[in-house]
Amino acid sequence: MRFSVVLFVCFLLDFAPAFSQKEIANQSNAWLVYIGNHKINARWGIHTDYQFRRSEFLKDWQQSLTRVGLEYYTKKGPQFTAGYAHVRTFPYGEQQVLAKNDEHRLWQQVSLKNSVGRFDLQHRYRLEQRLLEKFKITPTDNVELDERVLRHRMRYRLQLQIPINNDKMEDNTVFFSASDEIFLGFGKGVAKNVMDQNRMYAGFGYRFSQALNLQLGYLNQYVVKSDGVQIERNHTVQMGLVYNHTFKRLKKEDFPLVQL
Amino acid sequence: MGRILVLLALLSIFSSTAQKEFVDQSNSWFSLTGNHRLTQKWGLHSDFQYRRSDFLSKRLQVLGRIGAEYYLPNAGEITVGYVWSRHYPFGLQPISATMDENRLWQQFSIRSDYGRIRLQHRYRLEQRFLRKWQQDQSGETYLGETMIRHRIRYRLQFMIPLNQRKISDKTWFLNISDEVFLGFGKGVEKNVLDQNRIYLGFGYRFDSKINLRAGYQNQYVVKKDGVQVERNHILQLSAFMSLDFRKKPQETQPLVKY
Repeated sequence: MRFSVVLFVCFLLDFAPAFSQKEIANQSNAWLVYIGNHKINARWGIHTDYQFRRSEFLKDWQQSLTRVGLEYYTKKGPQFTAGYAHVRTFPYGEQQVLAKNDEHRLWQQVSLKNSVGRFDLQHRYRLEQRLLEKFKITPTDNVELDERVLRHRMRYRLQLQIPINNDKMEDNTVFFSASDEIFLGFGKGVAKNVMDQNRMYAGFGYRFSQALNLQLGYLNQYVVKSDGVQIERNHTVQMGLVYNHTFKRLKKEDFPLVQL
Repeated sequence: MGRILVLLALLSIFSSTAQKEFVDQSNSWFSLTGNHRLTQKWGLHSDFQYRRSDFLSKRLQVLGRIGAEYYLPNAGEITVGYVWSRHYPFGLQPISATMDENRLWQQFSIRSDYGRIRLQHRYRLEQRFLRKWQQDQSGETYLGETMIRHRIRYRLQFMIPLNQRKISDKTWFLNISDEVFLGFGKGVEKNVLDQNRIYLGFGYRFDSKINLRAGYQNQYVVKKDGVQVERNHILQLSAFMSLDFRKKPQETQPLVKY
C-alpha cells in the first residue's frame, strides 16, 4: 500500500516541468473557497461555489469566481454536474493582463470514486467552454476591449483522501488530502499552452459532520501563458469550507463525498 | 450524457490545426500480454508487441515488457518493470536511424464497476533511456550520449459486456479507451502533450485464462518541434493470458484486466 502513496507523491512532485527559455514568476497568493452541495432529493442537487482569490498573499485581488451547477447522482455512483461560472480576473503579479476582465463559462463534469483500503480516490473530469474578453492597446495608449473569444478546456483531477484519527471518514475526522489537476486546452484558438495549468495540492481537513468540513492546505498553481514562454508558479494558501445543507431528510449514503 | 461529453472532448482535442504538419498513416500492432498470478499478493506481467508500418509491409517497432505486480485491496494494483524496445525509421516523419530504448516504468491501476460497465484508471510513470544517432559537422553519423526522458501516462478504459451482464466466461465485450502521454522534467521539448491514443475494439473472453481483442487505434504523436504530428490509424490485434500459479487457486481469479 505504501508504494501507491510513494507513486502518487512522485507523480505530484515530478510534474512541474523544467523548461528552457521560460520566464517563470514565483508569486504567493491566497484562495478562500466556499463550496455548498445541496441535495434536493436522492438524485438531484445544487452546487454552489464562491472563491475569493487574492494575490501577494491577501493584499490585492487576483480573481473572483462564482459557480453554480445542477448535480445528478446516479444509482451506480458516478455523479454528473453541469453549470455556469463567472470569473473576474484582475491585473496581478508580475505577468499582468492588460485590464480587469470578465469570463462567462459553461462547464460539465463527471466525478467518480474508488477506495483502496482506507484511501479514498476521486476522479473529476471537467469540460469548460469559456467566453473570454481580450483587450488591446490603442494607438493613443488606451486599453480597450478588442474581442470576445470562445476557448475550450478540459480538466482532470485525481484526489486522494486519508482519514487520520479514524478508520473511516466519519464525523469528527481529521483527514489528509492531496490532489493534482491538469488543464489541457483544445479546439480552435488553442495557443502555445496546450498544457494550460497544473495544480498540486496537499492539505489537512477536519470533518465536523456530513454537513460541514474545513480544509487548509498548500496549492502550487502552475500557469502557462498563451505565448508558451511566460509561466506563473503561484504558491497559494488555500482555505476551504464545504457546507452540504440538504433540503430534504436523506439517508447517510445519499451524501456526496467530502470534496473541495 | 456525461460519458458522451467526455468522448466528444477526447475526439475534439485534436482538432486544433494552427501551423501543424499532419501525416496520416496506417499501421498494425500485434501484442501478447500476460498477467500471471504467483501468490496472493504478487504476480508477473509480461508483454510482447510487434508493430508494422505501411499497414503491414515495413518494420515499425518491437517492444518487450516485463514487470512485477502487487495486488492491493479493492482491485488496485501496483506494477514496476522494465521495457526494451527497438524503434525503426518509418512513415513520412522518420527518425534518422534505428534506435534502441531501455525503459523503467511504474504503474498504479484501479478499476471499479458501474452496473455492467467496468472502468479502469491506469497511471504510468516512465524513465526512458534513449541514445539517438546524431550528425557531426562533416555529416558523419555517430551514436550520441544516453539521455533520460520522463513521461507520465494516464489511461481511462471502459469495458462493456455485450452478451452477458458481467464479464465472465464466453463473453463478448466492447473495449473503449483513451490514453494521454505527457512529457515532463529536464529535456522536455515543445511536445508536453507527447501522444494521445484513442482505442475502440471488440473482444472475446474464453475464460479467466485467455481473451482476444481486435480494434482500431487512433494514435496521435506530436514530435519534439511541436510542429510535426503523426496521426496513425492502427489495426490492433491482441491476446491476453492470465495464468494462476498459486498452489491453491482461490475464487479471486485475476479477471480480464487490460
